Amino acid sequence: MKKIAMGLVLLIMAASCGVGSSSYDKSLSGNPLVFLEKGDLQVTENEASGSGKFVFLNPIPVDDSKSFEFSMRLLEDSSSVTIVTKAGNKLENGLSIVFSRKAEKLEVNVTLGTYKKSISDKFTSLKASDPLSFVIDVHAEDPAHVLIWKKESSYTKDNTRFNSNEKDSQNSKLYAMKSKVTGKFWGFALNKAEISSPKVGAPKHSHSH
Amino acid sequence: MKQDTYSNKFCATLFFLISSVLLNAKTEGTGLEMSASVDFLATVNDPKQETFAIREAEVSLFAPIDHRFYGLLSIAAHREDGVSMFELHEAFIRGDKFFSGFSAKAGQFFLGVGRLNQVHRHDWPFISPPTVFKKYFGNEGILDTGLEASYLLPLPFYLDITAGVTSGWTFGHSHDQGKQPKIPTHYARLKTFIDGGDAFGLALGLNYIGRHSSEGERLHIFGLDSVAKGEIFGRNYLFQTETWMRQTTPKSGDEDLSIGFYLFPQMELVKSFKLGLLFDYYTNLSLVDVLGNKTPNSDYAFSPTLTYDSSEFASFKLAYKYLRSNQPSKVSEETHSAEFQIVFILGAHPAHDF
Repeated sequence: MKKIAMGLVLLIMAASCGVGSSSYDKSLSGNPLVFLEKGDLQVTENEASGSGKFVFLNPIPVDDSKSFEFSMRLLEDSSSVTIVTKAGNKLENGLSIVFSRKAEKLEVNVTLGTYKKSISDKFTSLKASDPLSFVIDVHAEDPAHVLIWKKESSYTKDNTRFNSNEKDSQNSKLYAMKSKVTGKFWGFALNKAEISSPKVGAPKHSHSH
Repeated sequence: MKQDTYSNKFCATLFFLISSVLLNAKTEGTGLEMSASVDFLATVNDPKQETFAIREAEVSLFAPIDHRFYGLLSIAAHREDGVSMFELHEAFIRGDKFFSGFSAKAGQFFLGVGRLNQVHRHDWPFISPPTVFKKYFGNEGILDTGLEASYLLPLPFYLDITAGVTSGWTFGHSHDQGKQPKIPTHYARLKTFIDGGDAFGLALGLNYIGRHSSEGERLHIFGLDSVAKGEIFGRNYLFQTETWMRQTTPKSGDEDLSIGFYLFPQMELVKSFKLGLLFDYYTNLSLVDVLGNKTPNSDYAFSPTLTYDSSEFASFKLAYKYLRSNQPSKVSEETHSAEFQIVFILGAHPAHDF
């Protein structure tokens, strides 16, 4: 019995200790990252700007639902910011959301496997040239459930810019995802754009049952 | 809102039907019984829960169907996005008169694995599910439609084997009907019981669940559960624990391996009052960073729980919960919350196993 108790204590201690050391390229808002395409990316303490692609070092368990927050600026016409979550370590096979600027219009496209949808009509009230901040909930359900809010709004289901489980007047889910998320990593691809204060945390919206 | 209206209409219609059926049943002596249970929860400082909510309200009808079969139908209302949604919970037919030691059931039911998964949430000895249970089976347990058979082996000691196969279109929380799996959900459980008289009774179970999803993901879950009850120094005690390990192998991507357990010792303080301590622990064993370095991680929680059972039909629980999450993607998080639960049951209540 003593040996079992000791084993349990050791197991807990081993799993509770700090993160092992890893080499990484930079740190953004406290999140260590690795460049996948360095391009002309400039990364400071809280901001990344230019063009390039990077993945955050630390994994997120596949079955954890999370919220991803960030602020961005699309610096010129045809600029884009792509956030990829729940992806492989090269940001492959993940949930990808592309925010791009076409003149003053903000175009937004979501991709997960064979699922490809333009959701630009949900963002028509936003000006692409303005600084923008978003919160994206990715719920690790089957199929995945994605909700997008403008940051600092109230994070209710009724206040979303986009809700993949939203039903239309015919009770149909037009934007329902087809599959679940399968990856552990997240990161960004920037094209003449800047992002700041990226953060991952507990989902803003949760099912209470 | 539209759903809410539909739900309420459905609920009202169902209650009317149930009342009619019961009225007839009483006059015709069919043995039909009804049970209604309400699980009210108040939480303090838990961002994932509303402060006050009816977590679940359940209505069950159950009766012998004839001399061979027994049937149960239950509907339950859950909170979904702040709205109580009624849905079919369990609906099955069970027979145990075919030959000695054999029983089988068909319909929709909670899979016959583990301990918590086979007990309705309002009958759990603590309020909230342990992390490992929540991650593998959802907040309440795995419910599916299929067939399950049990056989009490003709041995000099108690050994029962249960096996089942269910549709497996979904597994855990889902917002749609899911997709046809390549191999449906299948499971088995080996259960034994040691009778130590008044001092203790010990039930042990060994479990396996498998599924091969439509996307090609293979799921294997292994579990060990144990419940001990008895009397020590003139006071009743309960010791309940489950350990689960899950391996998922997606069609493309890395294998995911995790393990977790909970322990719940509980002791009667004075008549009707019990004090228990829930400890639960969970870790993902295959978490590596972008560079392939193993990243230690864990979630653990302590929850002392005071229970007052006015009778077997009314129970009050008060719990404090400390939860610590050590995940590589963020600074370690600690949360402190409190929960107060009231459960009451109207009418008869189907008997539970040991």
